[in-house]
Amino acid sequence: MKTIKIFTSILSILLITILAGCSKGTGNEIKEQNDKIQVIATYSILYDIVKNVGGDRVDIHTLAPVGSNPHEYDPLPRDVQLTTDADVVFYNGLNLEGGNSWFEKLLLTANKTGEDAPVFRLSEGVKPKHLTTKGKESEEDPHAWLDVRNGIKYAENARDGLIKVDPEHADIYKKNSKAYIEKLEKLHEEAVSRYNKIPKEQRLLITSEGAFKYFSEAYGFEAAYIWEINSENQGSPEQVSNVVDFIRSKENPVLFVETSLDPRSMEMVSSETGVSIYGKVFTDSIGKPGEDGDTYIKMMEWNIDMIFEGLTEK
Amino acid sequence: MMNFIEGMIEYEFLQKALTTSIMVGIICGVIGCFIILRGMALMGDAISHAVLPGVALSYMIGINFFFGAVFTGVLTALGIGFISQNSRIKNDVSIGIMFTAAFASGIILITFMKSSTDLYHILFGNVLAVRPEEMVTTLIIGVIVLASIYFFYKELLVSSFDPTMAKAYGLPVRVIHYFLMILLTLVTVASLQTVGIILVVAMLITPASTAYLLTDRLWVMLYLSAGIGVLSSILGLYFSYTYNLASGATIVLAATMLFALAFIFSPKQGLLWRKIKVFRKETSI
Repeated sequence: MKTIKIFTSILSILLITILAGCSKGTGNEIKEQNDKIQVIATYSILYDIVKNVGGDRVDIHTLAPVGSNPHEYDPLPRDVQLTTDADVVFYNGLNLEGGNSWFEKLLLTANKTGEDAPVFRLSEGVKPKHLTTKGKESEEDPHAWLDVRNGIKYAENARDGLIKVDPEHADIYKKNSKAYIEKLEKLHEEAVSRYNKIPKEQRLLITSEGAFKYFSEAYGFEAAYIWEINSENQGSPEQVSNVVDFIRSKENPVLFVETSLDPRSMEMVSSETGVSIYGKVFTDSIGKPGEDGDTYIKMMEWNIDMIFEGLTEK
Repeated sequence: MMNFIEGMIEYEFLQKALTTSIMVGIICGVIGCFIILRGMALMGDAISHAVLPGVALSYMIGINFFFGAVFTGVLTALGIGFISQNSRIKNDVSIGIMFTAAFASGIILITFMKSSTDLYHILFGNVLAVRPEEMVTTLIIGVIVLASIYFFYKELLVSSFDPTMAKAYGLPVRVIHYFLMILLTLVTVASLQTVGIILVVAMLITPASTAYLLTDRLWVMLYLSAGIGVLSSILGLYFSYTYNLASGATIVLAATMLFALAFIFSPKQGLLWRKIKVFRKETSI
């Protein structure tokens, strides 16, 4: 027993030194005491839209970081902490964060549930599209933001949400969102007029994930994909053979690969069909700060340009 | 360190996470002692993987995943025993065959569930998002496990150290084995929340092994192992909070760190004392 005592005392001394050493490190920053609205967005695209509407009035934290896939995300300690402290939470809805229930669990842990919790769905008012895969018809497709008109709805919902939690500064939010929405409207009109130059039967878009349903409807595309929505069942033999057959049946198809997904499946399809991958498109995340497509508008511009060039220059 | 304590006072999620991981640390530590003494570490890993199809099935039928997990866990344990007793296949091989089969069927079942994935969460757990009802489940499991060990301490002791003797005494060795399997499944289910399927085995065997290096008495080992399990949970959560890291992984690494300390400094078994002893012997000659 005596030896154990000696051991435990050595152990505790070691632990204390280790812990003491650690606490000098980065540590948690102390919460800044300012009057800004603390905002949580579930992923980078919402982050950017809310930033444009909120301007200097808001401090935003995005849960799924830039470049990652918001379908699967596991909140880290700081995410839970910031969500607990947040004044308002914005999420996409339409089955994006809800599917694996990480978001629902997070709200529960952060005490942000209930009728009057400041949690707003930015896809409010968007007409949902449903998946077409057998057995999943009842599930909604989350990628509404790829239609710029829906992006406008997101901005309006962000504005209304911010006004609700911070009515004193309603004017600022209205002004910001008005300017932002004008830009988005311009972007949408440009896209429509550009794509109208391409004959409708040539407007074909092939990607890994079937994220372009809303986009296709807005700009008159036919969309094909390897798998319809990110899940465990990605790139099964049946899915790959279907898309390969589809590509072979078309004249001059073009392949695109998403920035936030593993490109290997698409590379395989490309080598199988001999059709090269034209370029990358943004779906579930904006680009890293300072790189291509680092805002919602830039990312949509990039997508519109890339797809336009792919279809006209091949 | 102060940040952690302040956070603990301020945030309910941290309190819940800490309570849950402490409970899991205790029960894993206690059951783990029997697992390592009986040489069943691989079995622990097997059972933890084998609960996956049960969890998926329960989600599909819409019942508490506890029942499904226990069902497939015990089924796999029975299957492993059946194969190794009825063929020339050795026990470790039969474990390998059965648990991978169970795990693979689990993956297939999960693809039939709702589109977005749950697998990641079951595999890795997240103690930061523990629900009140899951805490209650953990508590009930903890009470069942500790009570079972308390009441059947002698039986478990004898059959763990000397199965032949236990048989000669007339103890139902096989029943005890499967009883322990059931307890193991329960513990795995309780740990799904904190460390997830993949890392459960670490919580089972690492604190127990650390304790094993420090004592020769079973009851001391049980207390030590539970204590080390708790300490790992607290340390792990501290690192997770301070450096914003996944909590399951930091808890396991904290346990490993404690093991490394025991491995080097343990009074009887430690590397350091042994080296010193050898050195002294050599110099005295």
